Amino acid sequence: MTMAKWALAGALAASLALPAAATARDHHRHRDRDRATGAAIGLAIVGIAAAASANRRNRQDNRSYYDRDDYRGGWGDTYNAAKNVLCYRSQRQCYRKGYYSAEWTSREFGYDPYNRGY
Amino acid sequence: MKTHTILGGLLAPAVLVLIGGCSEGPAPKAEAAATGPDDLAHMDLTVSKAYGAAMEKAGLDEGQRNVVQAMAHQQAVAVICAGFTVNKARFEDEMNIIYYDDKGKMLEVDSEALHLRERQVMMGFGMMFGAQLAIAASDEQAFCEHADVERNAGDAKHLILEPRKTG
Repeated sequence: MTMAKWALAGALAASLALPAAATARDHHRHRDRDRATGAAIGLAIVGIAAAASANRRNRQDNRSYYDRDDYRGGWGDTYNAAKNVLCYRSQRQCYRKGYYSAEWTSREFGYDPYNRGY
Repeated sequence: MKTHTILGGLLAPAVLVLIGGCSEGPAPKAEAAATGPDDLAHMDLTVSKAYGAAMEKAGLDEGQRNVVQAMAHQQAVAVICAGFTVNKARFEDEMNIIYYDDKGKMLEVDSEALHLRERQVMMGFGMMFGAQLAIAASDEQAFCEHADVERNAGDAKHLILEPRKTG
């Protein structure tokens, strides 16, 4: 974010430094200034894009499996495997009356660590 | 030293410490509004998701993660519910699964990598064990009734709870 702010501040400073009035005899000088302004704005846009990209990359790199956003509900599709037994398809786990059921999880999602056939 | 005794040896003191911590006095009765089945499942799913991600990072496949989770659940049952005991030999045998790869072949890793894996599994075990203790606290009687049904399921895999004593 700091990089983006500096780039934006640079672009603003460059645009404020320009004189308001323009005359024919200053034509060449103005053309040069216009080019400089265009370059500054271009650089600012590139800087902002680079900073935003770096920020996004940093956020992704710093994500851990404890990031709270990953654990706010959204458990997906459920179905009743039996009376009082609710299974969460995407989580591949079953619960009886809300309590974790190793029996039904095993039965419904069929893992077998010994045969390695899941 | 046989690998299957290592984790059992490491986990046994950890479980004892946890049991000791849990047996300091009776748990206070929950006074908050009753927690519904969906809330309980979502509590478990939340921890399970973090556990799954951590264990996947540690190199455990789905079957291994489920076994460790089932072990943590049953150890918590044995701590909370009266009349439930864990068969120690079966527990060690089940936990032995973490020393194998997804083809069922014993891992060929140095002792440092092995210890790292054990530490990671212990962390995961602790996560799920703690989650079960917290979930059970909302209604211990219902939690233990559910555990009793699971204990008596004839075809249940990875069952380490001793059968109910009759008479």
